[in-house]
Amino acid sequence: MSGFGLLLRKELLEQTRTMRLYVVAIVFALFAIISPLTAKYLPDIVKALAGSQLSLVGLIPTPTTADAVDQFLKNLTQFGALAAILLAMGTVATEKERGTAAFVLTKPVSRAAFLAAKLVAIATDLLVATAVAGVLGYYYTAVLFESLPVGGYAAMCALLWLSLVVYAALTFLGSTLTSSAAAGAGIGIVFLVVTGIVSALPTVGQYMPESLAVRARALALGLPSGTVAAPVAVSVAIVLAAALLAWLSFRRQEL
Amino acid sequence: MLDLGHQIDQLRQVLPLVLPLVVLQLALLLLAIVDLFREERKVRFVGKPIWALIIVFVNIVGPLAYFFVGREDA
Repeated sequence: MSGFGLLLRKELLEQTRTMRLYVVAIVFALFAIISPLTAKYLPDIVKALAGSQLSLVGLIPTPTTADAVDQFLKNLTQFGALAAILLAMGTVATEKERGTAAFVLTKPVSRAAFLAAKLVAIATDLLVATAVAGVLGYYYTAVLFESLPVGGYAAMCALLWLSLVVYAALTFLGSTLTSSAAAGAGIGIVFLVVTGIVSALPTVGQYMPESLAVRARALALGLPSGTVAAPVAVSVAIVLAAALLAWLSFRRQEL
Repeated sequence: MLDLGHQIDQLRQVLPLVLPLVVLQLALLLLAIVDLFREERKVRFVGKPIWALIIVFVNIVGPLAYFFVGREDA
């Protein structure tokens, strides 16, 4: 993979120059703050809105730490997946469309390095954003509810990051197979739906990336999480398979 | 009066926690607006005024859509 380091530096510089890194980090930070706040104050808001309908007020449960973790995971899984698709959808397709990929590849760099640098840069964006979200989410949960074990919360964030990298890698594959960012995003969304359907199946489901959220929740709350290794291994395998398929397709493409 | 005092106390407690949220939202919005109105910036699908409205009025997703879909070099 000649030229990987150079291309990675170029990609990371581009992520900051185009402000993508900052935008994704800010969006993740927003949801990290909103989640524990919503868990804490939504019942109060509902009670205030219910007003005189006091019979409703009794039905609203008292918010707990688990609610804050649930909100955090729900929001960041949904918007994180959206961010992962947006980050990856045009990464190769747009460069092919504009001819910049052909220009870069006239330099002494391999196609494998070209692809790997892009995928690693996206994973880095998601890592920074997830880390920012993790720190803020942990702080707000500690202030509004109680302190959770740092190791468990960090493990939750690591699993969340891995699940987002899976969505990014599948969209990245879509972006490599086509010459349009929209088509790349479409393929990413199709993969997202397919893995979502497969994850609902009784036996296979527990090994799919979607089941990482269930494990992540248990780890954060210090509950028995079951086996984490299997879904982690499957997720890593999906990322590597997507990268390999992208390379197999890209190395034969006419640019 | 007692209820109002209690509400003000609650607001004092919540404000420091909500303030970063407001600051981040404004930062996101300003980043997008400043970038949009750069002279050399070219946008796709709709014109700059429509993108400005989307950024301002579609919370969080508006700036996100602009940065990833709306910009010519996105």
